[in-house]
Amino acid sequence: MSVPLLEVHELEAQLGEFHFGPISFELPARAWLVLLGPSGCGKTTLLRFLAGVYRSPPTAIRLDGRPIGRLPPEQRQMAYVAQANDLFPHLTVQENIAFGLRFLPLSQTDRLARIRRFLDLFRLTHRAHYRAGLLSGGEGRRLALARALAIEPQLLLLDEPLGMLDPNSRRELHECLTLVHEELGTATIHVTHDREEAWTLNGLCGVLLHGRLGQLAPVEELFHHPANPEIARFLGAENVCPAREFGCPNDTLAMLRPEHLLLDSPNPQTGCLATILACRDRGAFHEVELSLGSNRRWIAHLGKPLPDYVVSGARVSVRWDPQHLHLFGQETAP
Amino acid sequence: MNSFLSWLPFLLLGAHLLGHLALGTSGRLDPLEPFSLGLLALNGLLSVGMARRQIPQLMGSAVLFLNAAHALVGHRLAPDSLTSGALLLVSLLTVYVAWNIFEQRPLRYGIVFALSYLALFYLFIVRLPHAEPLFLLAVMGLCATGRDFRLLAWFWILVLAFTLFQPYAWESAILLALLLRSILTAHAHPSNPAALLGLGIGLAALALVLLPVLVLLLSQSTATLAVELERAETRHAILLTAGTACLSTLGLALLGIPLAYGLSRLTFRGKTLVLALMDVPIIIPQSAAGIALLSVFSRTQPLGAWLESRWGVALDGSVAGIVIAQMFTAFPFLVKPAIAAFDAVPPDLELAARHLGANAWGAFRFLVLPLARRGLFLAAVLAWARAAGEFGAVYFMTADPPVAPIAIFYRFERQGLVETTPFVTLLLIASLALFFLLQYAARRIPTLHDWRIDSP
Repeated sequence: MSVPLLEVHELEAQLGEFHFGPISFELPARAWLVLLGPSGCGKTTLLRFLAGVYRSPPTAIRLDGRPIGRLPPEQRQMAYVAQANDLFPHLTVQENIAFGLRFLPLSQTDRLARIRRFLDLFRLTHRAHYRAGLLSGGEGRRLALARALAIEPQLLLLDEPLGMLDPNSRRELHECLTLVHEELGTATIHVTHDREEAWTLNGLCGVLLHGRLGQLAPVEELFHHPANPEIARFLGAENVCPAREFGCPNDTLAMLRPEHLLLDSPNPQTGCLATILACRDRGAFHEVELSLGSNRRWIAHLGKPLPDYVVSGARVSVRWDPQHLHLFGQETAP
Repeated sequence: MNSFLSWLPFLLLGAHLLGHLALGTSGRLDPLEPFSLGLLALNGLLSVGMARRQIPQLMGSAVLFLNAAHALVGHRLAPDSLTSGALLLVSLLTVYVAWNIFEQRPLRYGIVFALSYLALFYLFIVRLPHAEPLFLLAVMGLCATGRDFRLLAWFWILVLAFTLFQPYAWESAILLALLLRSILTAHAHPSNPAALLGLGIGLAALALVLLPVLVLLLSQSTATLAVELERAETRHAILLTAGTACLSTLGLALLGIPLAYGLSRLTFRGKTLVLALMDVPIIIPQSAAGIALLSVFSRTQPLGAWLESRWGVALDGSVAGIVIAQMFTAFPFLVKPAIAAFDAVPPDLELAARHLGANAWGAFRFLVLPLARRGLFLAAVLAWARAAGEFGAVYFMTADPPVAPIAIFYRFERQGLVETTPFVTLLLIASLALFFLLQYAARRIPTLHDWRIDSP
């Protein structure tokens, strides 16, 4: 097994009231890691530790086996793109890209070639001579990314790169990021509170809760087999309740994703009976809120068109395939 | 009411006719004089026109009345028929404009117009003797501007400057124009009357502050100034002041700009105290500062003696002393604005530069300095002005050779006010010209704000 590109080992800090860490994880080369977490969970703090804004014990962070915890930001070979872009407004687009190259040992021709390459990669060539302050939201974000990647860092740190953009620019930027990652293969840590981004980028995914890394796994696994109910709830799992209610003999909590609940016309022989409280159109699917007596609410996602027996106030029978049921560890029901 | 109005022209015409006959028979008016007869005939035509509804009743009646009054009274009192004619024409114009304003504009315009007319009458007829032609001119101005409050305000500024403020006519005209221009163009969304009132009061106070300066500036002829400039004493003082102020600004920039950067970017214990201590040169009286400097740098004191014996630099009584004293008093004027200039550069941008591989020096050199340069330049201009104007501290350190402020003092003591004013005017012109030129140059340096909203 080769050495991982990034090793974080027991990174821990007390920042005012907030206790951060301890956090340990490893990141292989060329990986794309999406770190999910609610506001205030320490996402940006982690990036700031990695990027060198805060110092840490030298061996808490290793890049390519090299301890970098005490190095200043400029010596870490990481590029950090903050939420606000932080473009240099007095420089043009190409001067912004050239800014970081000034500090690299490059010949003039190499430098120009690299500027051209990154203008092209991020589709900014037509804006090369614009002042950075004049760019639109999406272009500004692309410039921030181009400027960061132009210094060819070993690790790219992105703080909410798709945040604060309109849906079209968001999709465009997302495509752009995927293409660039395929071409350059720069390992990336991408921090966001939007779980949709984790799906669309389809790489490794971690959940940060209360300053700790809850779980680190491929997206598919994380969403279908979250390690504990809290992670499951953050990831949008709706139906978390004691396993007994799903007909399992265990004393643990269990989870069933809304799309795995199936509704039939009322039939006491199959499954249990439920009352439909509400039916909401969510565009691609219908969200159906069910009441199973005993204060328990479940949510089911149904494809379109809806069967005619699914109407608000009607009774239906609910069933599911037990293999879709996800049982959490040995935590007892609340 | 309507029947009264329809009879009014004939009543007025009748009164005019009767008056004409009465005055004519008693010999106080020549009944066949063409001007009086002409007015009588004109009134007859007017009455007919009004009876046939071709001329508005109210307007026509007013003209009728004016004609009659002028024919019977005004014409007899006017010195000659030319003046009489002008008087009648201006009166007719006033009535016509007033009628238009009452008819077409909100009532307040009419009221202001009438009050303005009365005020002009008071100013030119009651207050000033023999100003009747000026009154006619002013009334014509009022007629031209009465329909618009802004124009009317400009008109009143001119009138006031050249009547009530007569001794300072030009000065007050300039200052009032500046004040009015600011007030008239001031706006906010939503409108803010409290701020507008504050601006008005504040600008009026500013005008009073500027008045002496303007009076001094406009008091001297160019010939006097040229003679003054020829004097060796004057030239020497001006060159010495400019040179020493440049030197002290350079010294302050070298020391103060790094200090300001440090104070802007770092937090440390006692920072508030350091920032407060920075104001010491402003707080203490200038003479006290001079004595304090002397008690350290004088040749009789340990540090001054050491400087002289070790380096051969005597500070008191030398040009170096002037520079030291100027640096002392101008210090906060450089450092405080420089701190503000650095504060205006977001630390996040600097951090972004660090992430792109610039070390702290690189980020300062290539990012912070270009972004803060306008503020720094302005800080230097301010410090230069303060250094050049320093009197007290410099006087105690080096009274001879005298810098310009000290030279003024000497001249005043020996030769009095009249002899000193050309020198002072010259200095004022030079320093104001330089100051505004530098300020203008500084505004040309783009700043962070400009790049954010500029168009390509």
